[in-house]
Amino acid sequence: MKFRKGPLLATAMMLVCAVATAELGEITAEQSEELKQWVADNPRDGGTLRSDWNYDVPEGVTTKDVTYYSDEIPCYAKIFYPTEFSADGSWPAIVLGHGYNAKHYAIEKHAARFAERGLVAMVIDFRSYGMSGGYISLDQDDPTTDEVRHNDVFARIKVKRTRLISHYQVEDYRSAISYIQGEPGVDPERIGTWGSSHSGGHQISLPALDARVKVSVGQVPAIGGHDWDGKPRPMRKRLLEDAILRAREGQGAEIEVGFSFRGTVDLETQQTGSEYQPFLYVDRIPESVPILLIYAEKEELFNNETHAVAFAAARKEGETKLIEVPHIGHFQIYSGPAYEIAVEAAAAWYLKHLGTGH
Amino acid sequence: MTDRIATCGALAALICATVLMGTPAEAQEIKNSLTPEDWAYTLPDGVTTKEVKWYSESIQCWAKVFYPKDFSEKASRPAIVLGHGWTGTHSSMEKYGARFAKHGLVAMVIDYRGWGNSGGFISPLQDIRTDDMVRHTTLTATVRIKRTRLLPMKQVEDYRNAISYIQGEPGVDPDRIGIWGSSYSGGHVVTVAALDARVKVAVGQVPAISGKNVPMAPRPIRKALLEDAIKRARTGKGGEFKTGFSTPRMVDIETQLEASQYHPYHYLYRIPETTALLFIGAENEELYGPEKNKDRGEAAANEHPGPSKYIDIRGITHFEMYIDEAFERGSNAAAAWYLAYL
Repeated sequence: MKFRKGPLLATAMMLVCAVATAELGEITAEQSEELKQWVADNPRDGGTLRSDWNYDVPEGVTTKDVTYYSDEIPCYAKIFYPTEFSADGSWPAIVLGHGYNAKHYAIEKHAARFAERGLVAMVIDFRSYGMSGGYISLDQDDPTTDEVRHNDVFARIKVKRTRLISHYQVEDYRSAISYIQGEPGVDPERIGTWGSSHSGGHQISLPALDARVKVSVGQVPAIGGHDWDGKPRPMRKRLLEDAILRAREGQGAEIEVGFSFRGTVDLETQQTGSEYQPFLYVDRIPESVPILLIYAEKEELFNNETHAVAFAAARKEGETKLIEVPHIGHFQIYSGPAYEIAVEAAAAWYLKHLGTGH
Repeated sequence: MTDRIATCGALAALICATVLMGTPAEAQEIKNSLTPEDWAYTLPDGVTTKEVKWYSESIQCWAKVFYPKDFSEKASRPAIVLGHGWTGTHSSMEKYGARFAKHGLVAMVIDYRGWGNSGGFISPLQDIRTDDMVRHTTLTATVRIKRTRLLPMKQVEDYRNAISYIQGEPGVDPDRIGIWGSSYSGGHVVTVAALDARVKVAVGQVPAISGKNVPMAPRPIRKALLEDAIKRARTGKGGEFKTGFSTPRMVDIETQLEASQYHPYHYLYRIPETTALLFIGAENEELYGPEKNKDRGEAAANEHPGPSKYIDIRGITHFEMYIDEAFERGSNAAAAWYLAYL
């Protein structure tokens, strides 16, 4: 944690708004005090409050609900456009994905702020979450053969929601990137991504897998795998039995998960989750991609030392910047002064590395 | 434009389809597909088969399981999962399943999702509204069942789900599982072995193990493929092209993008040291570029620190691996490898 002693209070307050002139991520003494007070008055155990998600669409910012397709499943996104946006212009764009078992509602305010700062911001629901479509399978025999590729039929189907598969979420981000690259007015060469908590880890995977990601920001990011050699681990007995059940009968066991949003996922999620370790990709991220990781000093869900901090130390080429927000726990970053610090730092990071729209 | 994409796609997707194809005289005689005669086999004495339904991502799939003579549900036999190559189906692999069963192995010959006798992929043709609070919904609706989607990581998933299926088969020892692949799936066996600790042995023949000289880093997407990705993301539908050897099929241009980013060689370092790898190549391999197998199967076998071997079958081209003497050598070598390490 860094803070600057000495400057006048007014200057310190201006720094909150004028991040372009201040060193990015420097937390002033006044900010730290404000955070400390706010944390004492606003505990957040195990999730955010619905009131944390509230925001006003900034003056001049416009929004549009769209359907993007990921693996042929229709999905939901809301795009926020800056005041001066024009479909004839050339604007940088950010894709935002939600956290563990969450939905787009909790992070709309981040997209709104990015738009206010001059970025097109597309906030998505992952497949089978929120307003995105679910996974479809047949509840009857499949009569089709390879001779006819496309078969449009009226059929009995099953739709399943809340499948939490980490690498599919990364695919959803990539599908959304494709979507926004084709948006009139967006510069397809200036795309960034944003994530928080579980999707904070995706901010490591995405630039490692997709050259279109020019910059990423992860807040309270879960970046597992610092001590993993990449070799597959034997399946735990219960998860193996469940994999066998799924393969032989189609549906396995289910479990309850979630923080701000509670829900049911397949037990499969524990297996796929254990196989998803963003740290694996540390050496594959292009040197040209700057990554900002904003973490909570009192993070209670994982150890920053082996996640964000370890990642920054392990990355040999390219810029990784760390900002530690003092006093807060995991879920306090979504509201109050911590939200202000994190969202403004992210916006400044994107503008610095992607440039402004025109 | 579509024709150009189709032509470029056919070449690009055939992992370095080479100049050889265009040279006169000798090239005309290179076997470039398999026929039903090539697929034919006689069921060995005592070997039985069963057609089964298994599930991959809730899609009902098909497999034929070959059981060795004297198989019993009370016993504990090793089992092999066999997946097919580029636009192939189970048809070309049944003879291998039969041969492995002859050697005492249970062999599960699968069709991937969207191919052969397995179910296709479902997408909605109408609005379907469901809510997170209700996880499972059954309804009737207009949907598209799409077949012949050729996406390598989905095929890798299918291998893994088939492994789960066969591990639960009475009479199979779940701790003694091997996998087999040929051509495109010869590369898949590397990926599957790297992702799944249940694989104890993997065999790939004429294997498409690309990536040795490709950096492990993301690369810009070719313009035509990016335009297709954007179209797919914004409309749900992209372009198509025809590809394949024995039975050419229409697949999505998406396949070219996925195939260009799929490099089994990049997974090699993640395979456990205890896993035994055998690769069998054709000396006169014509599909993998001038290096042939030197930067594919042979290199992969050399690089793996655990038990590994490369067999070079002299005097044959890619598709000749599946027939005659090469079939005998290749299938028996694979069976021997499984028996040695399972």
